[in-house]
Amino acid sequence: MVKSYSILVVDDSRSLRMVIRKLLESTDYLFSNIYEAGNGKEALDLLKDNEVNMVLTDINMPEMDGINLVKVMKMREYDIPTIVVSTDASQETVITAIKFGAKGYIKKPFSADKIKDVLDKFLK
Amino acid sequence: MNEHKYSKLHDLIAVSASEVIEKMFYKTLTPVDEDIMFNFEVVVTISFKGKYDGTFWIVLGKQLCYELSASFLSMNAEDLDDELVHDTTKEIINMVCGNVLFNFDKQKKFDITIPSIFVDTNAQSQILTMPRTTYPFSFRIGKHPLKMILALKMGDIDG
Repeated sequence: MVKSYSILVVDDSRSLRMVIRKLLESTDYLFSNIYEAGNGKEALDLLKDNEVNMVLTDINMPEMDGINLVKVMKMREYDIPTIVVSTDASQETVITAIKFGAKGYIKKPFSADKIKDVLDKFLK
Repeated sequence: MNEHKYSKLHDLIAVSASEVIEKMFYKTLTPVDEDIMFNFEVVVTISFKGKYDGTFWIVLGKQLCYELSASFLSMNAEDLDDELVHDTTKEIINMVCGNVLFNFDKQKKFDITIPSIFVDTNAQSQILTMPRTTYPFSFRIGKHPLKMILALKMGDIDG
């Protein structure tokens, strides 16, 4: 039986979430659910009620940003690989994100291969 | 800012913006040497704080917004609504400004605001709110002109 996965995409841009969804659906992975959240708070609400295998999150978002999301996820002991997808790929931000629990980093703009690489690394 | 610094900044913005437009929007951004004037309907803006503080604007036409959005989302332009196009246009400036700042300084982070978009008369009004000293950079995507405008609050670009 082919394994299926659930992914949570967190970005305040609906269009960026749509692009990531299309890229995910174009891979060989089977997704039972691709959840979407517009900020960290919405993401935490979704995580309360749903099993998720991976989180892809932006940093710069209203209400709760991606750094605070990974911090809270670590505090609440969620064992879910979380990958930051952001325009801010400065060394300072990457180190902060990794320190608070992010497992990977994708700099915007990104190619489809980058998304596939993190799926291969964390879902295989 | 002297001509040499302006030219270096133009190159940096052109390279950073081209990477975004080519990788995510599958279009070619062509720098234009002269400061072009055109009828625009859309202005998107974002501000940043860090090694330099400033504001960045992109000025463009609605048709280009629709074409870029359609390309980004792999959809037909006629299937898009204004909300989705505005959202995509804000994502353009978010990625372009983020990439420009990353290429300014790869070590230290810049805090950037959530982008804002102004359309039609509000876009014209937004131009009037710009500070006296700005650095305009002109481009074309296909037949469409667009302008990227930078204003720095304090100091000048090093080097």
